[in-house]
Amino acid sequence: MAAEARQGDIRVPPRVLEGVANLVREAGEGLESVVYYEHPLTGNGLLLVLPDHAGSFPDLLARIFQAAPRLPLHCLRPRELFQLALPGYAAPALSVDDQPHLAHCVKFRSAVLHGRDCRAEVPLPARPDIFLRDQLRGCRKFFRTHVIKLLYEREYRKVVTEVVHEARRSMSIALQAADGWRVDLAEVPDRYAARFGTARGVEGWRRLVTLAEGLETTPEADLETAAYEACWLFEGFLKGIASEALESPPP
Amino acid sequence: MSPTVEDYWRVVEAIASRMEGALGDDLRSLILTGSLSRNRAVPGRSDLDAIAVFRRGALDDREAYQRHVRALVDAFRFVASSGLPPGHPFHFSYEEELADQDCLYTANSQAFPDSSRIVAGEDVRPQIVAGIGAAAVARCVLFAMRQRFLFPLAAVLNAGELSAMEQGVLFERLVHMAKGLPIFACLALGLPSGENVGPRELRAALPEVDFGVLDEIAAIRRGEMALGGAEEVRGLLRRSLELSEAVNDRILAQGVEPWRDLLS
Repeated sequence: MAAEARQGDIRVPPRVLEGVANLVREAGEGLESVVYYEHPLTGNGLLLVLPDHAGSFPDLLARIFQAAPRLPLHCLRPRELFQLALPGYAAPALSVDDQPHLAHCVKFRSAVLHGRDCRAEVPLPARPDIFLRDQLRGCRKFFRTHVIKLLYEREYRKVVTEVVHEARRSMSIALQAADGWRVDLAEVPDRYAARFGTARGVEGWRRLVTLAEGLETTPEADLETAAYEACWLFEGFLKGIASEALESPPP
Repeated sequence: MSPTVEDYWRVVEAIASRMEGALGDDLRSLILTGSLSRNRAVPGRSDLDAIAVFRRGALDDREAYQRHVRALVDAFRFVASSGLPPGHPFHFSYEEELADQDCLYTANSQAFPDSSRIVAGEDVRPQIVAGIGAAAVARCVLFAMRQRFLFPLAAVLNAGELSAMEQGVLFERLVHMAKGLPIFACLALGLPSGENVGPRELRAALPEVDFGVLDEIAAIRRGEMALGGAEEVRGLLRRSLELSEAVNDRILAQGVEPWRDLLS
């Protein structure tokens, strides 16, 4: 088994090293570079830089996705590296959009595991607010619908836990302009409170956490009420975060 | 027995009536979107897509908000028990949010009279506007779609057996890709991108690209062609990946310039 590897502050887990070694065996000539990065929203991921002319692109992708470790993968040619700094499309609960923080994580919270170091070629986002605006719209469009399905299925505990998780992710994205890429999800609420004070979003978060912490002792008969309450608190939280981070952000 | 288009409309009318009865003036509008509103529903396969719009300010009213959510849960329960494919629950917005919508389906198709229908309440579609930054996100969504949804499917190209269920799941993914790719590509190229006009605009803009695989996927979904076996589904996937590459190459021929404002 491969030992854990360190590059600066980055610890690359053994299973990732083994997976990347396998990947390089299977697709070596088709890989200019492999960069491992840590990411607040997904934990970690791999940037695979592919050559501009790789023969059959579908076959190269097939080799990569069969051999790669189970992590978020970004497969890009050198001329496409700018895409790491662009917004993705937030569809909370349907899929994880890791474009928020991505360029910073690839540049500054990463280790090159194979090939050349391409990180200097990655630009940074110019408009971090766009990522949060997209997240808030995504919550309204997709997360609301997802929660209605959970309520229909009487998955009341799940509603509360997923609402809390999405609130945490939203705070992380709100911190994008304030070095949020450095902050893991567990520490996000404190960092958010420190940056944005104790206004509406923070208060909404505290009420959500109180609700979630009480789930263990909530009688079954009251779970439905708790789930509907969590939904309403989440709506207020989203309005708060929009107001604090977008409409009147601290200097 | 597969439902008919008339069955779809009966369910829509019943839901509209139930929601109006339960919510009164709180329901400002119920907008039917998707294939049924465009007279292109595939009975037994298409689901119901709609957006409920609630009155301004009700989001701050706990009781009103929870009443709205309960009405939507009830509507979804009604669809699920009707024999139609349940799909997903209806989307919902409050009037004050209509001017902050995303650019993909909402601002580009739901607001178009030929892509949606009002089935209850008033016509609020003129108020539906893309929000700040939504157009920028729309310019980039093709890239995200390729990375997140299309590329990972390549894992099955050279894999072993594909069960009938896996073939079905893969085909459904390709259906989503076939619907989304023309719209997302139009947005990246700055072309009109409504669900009715996007595919036509893209083909006109890129006449040298072979879009035949999209037609095949659509024909199979409508039941006009057979899906075939695992190799046929893999063939559709391979051609979808090649099409996505061809379109991506044309888009990147513009260089980084169209996205320069988003990069530092």
